Amino acid sequence: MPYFKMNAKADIAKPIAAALCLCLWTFGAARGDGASAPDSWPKTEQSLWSLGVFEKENLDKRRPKPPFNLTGTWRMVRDKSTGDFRFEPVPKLTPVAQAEFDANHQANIEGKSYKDDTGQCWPAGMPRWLTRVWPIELMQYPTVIVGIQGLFNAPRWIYLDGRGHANPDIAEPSYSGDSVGRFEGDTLVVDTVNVQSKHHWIQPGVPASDQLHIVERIRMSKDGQSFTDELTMTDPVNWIGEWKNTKTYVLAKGEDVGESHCLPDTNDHILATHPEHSAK
Amino acid sequence: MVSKFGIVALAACLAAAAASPAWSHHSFAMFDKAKQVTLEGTVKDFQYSNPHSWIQLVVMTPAGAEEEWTIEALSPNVLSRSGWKRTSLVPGQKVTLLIYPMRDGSHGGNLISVTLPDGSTLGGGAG
Repeated sequence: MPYFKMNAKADIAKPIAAALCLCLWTFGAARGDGASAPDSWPKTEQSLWSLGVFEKENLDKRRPKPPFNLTGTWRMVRDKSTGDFRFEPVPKLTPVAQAEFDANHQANIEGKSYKDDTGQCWPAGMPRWLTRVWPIELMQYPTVIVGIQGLFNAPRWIYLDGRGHANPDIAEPSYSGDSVGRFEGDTLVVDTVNVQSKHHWIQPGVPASDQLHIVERIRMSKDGQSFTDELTMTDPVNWIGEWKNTKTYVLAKGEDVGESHCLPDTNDHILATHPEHSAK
Repeated sequence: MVSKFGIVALAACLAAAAASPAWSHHSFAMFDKAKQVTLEGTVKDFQYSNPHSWIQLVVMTPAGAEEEWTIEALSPNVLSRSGWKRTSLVPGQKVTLLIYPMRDGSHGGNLISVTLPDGSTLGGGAG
């Protein structure tokens, strides 16, 4: 697939011009059309790929008016029928994931945690980013939705400017993944790939691999006070078929997301994170 | 043992004990949700902080020795909705805590509620 050419008006000193051009080409390639994008995903104008989401040229580009705006502070509605803070029911797991699931279950019976990576400050990542007890702050611009999770201020970016997925051979995997979105009628469809698999869990006992693919269909309520996020997740390394779940969010009135970090001493007084309470 | 250290409920339920909430930043499997323990003691320290607030409580044993307990509560964004403030607990304050204890018997737990010297109660957010 063709990568875009940078159109930056850089004033490059001659002695380093060649090196910089190579760097710019590499950067551009990382933002280009990735092989993992769905076939139906629209191809992006090559020139647009060189624009940051907050560059005026990108923001000012003529686009259809979005059917809704997600800007706000949102709290997930607890619904035990869909797993509360988990995603239930859990699909049939592959043997490798089933072993992790069973180990987690056994550890819990023994009063231990199992590979409790978020407790050790690893990011929750997608899709757990969506299901923490802390609210989520979303800021929607014409080109991007920026999200901040209250748990350690973990960020997420959903690109709306028409770009495809970044080339996974070049772009670094991330815990929130590479998310691109587009509106289809009254629905925002978000496609997420290229997640970091290291210390990354769908939920306790179910790991996420680098083949995790999440499609979200987000719909706003008529009164704008709530939205639903219908997730379809596939990860052939860890489960069979599609894992579907729907979460509902309501405006968290009077709330903001505050500064939150996992610091070297954060767990000093949180006994549950100490190694003696974790299965070996 | 701890003075006025009462086991209020002992209704064991393996399924409940095995289940650990997944909404926090860490596992809760090590808390025994089948037991509730009451602690009376003196606040040594209280941190109203993310992702979890915590209390260091000094409890006198029947033998007159001091035991220090580390009790975990939820974050300010949750506690504040139940009326908590950064100054709700201060060092030297005599309080009564209701907790889910650690299953291995170590001196820690998950806060269910705290009763202040004036008799008022604040929930700790344990689910």
